[in-house]
Amino acid sequence: MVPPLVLPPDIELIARLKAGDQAAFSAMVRAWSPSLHRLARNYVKTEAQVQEVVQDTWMGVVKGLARFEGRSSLKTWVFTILVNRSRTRGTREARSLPMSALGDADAGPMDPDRFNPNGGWAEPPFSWKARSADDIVTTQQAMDVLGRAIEELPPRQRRVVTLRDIEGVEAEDVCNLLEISESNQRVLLHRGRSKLRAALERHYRSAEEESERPSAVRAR
Amino acid sequence: MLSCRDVTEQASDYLDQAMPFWARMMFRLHLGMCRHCQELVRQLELTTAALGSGAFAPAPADGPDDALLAAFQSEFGPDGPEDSDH
Repeated sequence: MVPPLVLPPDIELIARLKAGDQAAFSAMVRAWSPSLHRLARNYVKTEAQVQEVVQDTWMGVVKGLARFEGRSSLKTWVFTILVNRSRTRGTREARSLPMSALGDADAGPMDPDRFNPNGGWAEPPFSWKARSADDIVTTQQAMDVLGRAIEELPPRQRRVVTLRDIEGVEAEDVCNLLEISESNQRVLLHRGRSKLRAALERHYRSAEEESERPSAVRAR
Repeated sequence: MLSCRDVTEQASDYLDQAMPFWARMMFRLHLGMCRHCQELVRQLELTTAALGSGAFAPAPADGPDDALLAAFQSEFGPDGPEDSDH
């Protein structure tokens, strides 16, 4: 796996860009283009359009950087340019949809069967072997489980989880980017995260059951 | 009094500190008494931390193409508009 690029803090990056530092510009384009591609796919249909919108966004960044006021992070500002440009040509659902049942037809963050009628645990969470985030990300199986679970999230939950938890975009900026209310953002985020937690819980439970099986059975 | 089910519904708000003061106090009071909910909140926190660890950040793409570099050069390079003012 290619390690992610580490960019300098905004203030330094912006100063270097404005001073015409090509290496800084290249690093930013390399680091953020994949995220821009991922975000653009929410708005336009074809890969060709995605490419076009991302290129167009970078052109917009070059033209607009001198006027960037730093009211959001640089990355969020770049994301905003992408969303605006995608929307002007977007052929997909793009704009905010009625969020009645939050679009994704599922109930609360936990299976209701896990509680007794007074709201206490009937089936409490299975205790994880993982003690830290490192324990998760350094285990290939857990990473595969989590990666698959992210892919399987309903689209709106996936968008919010990706922007908030993977890209590190602030809640308020996510609301603006996706044109959703603050409360919808919170619900989508929590449902998405809860599904990912549940996927890891299933993984750790089955791993433990596997290891507890008599070796004679396991050997088969 | 919060139920365990309430806790599972509010856990992200708690972790993101997006909870009014009293709601947060009630939540912590429950956590202090319920190890299952402590475990649930810990798991959600670990999940979120794993997502934000950089392990899921996409691998870097190719750098800017010639057209984009040329645009950058003309905007910020030595002959760009910044310097042409003086």
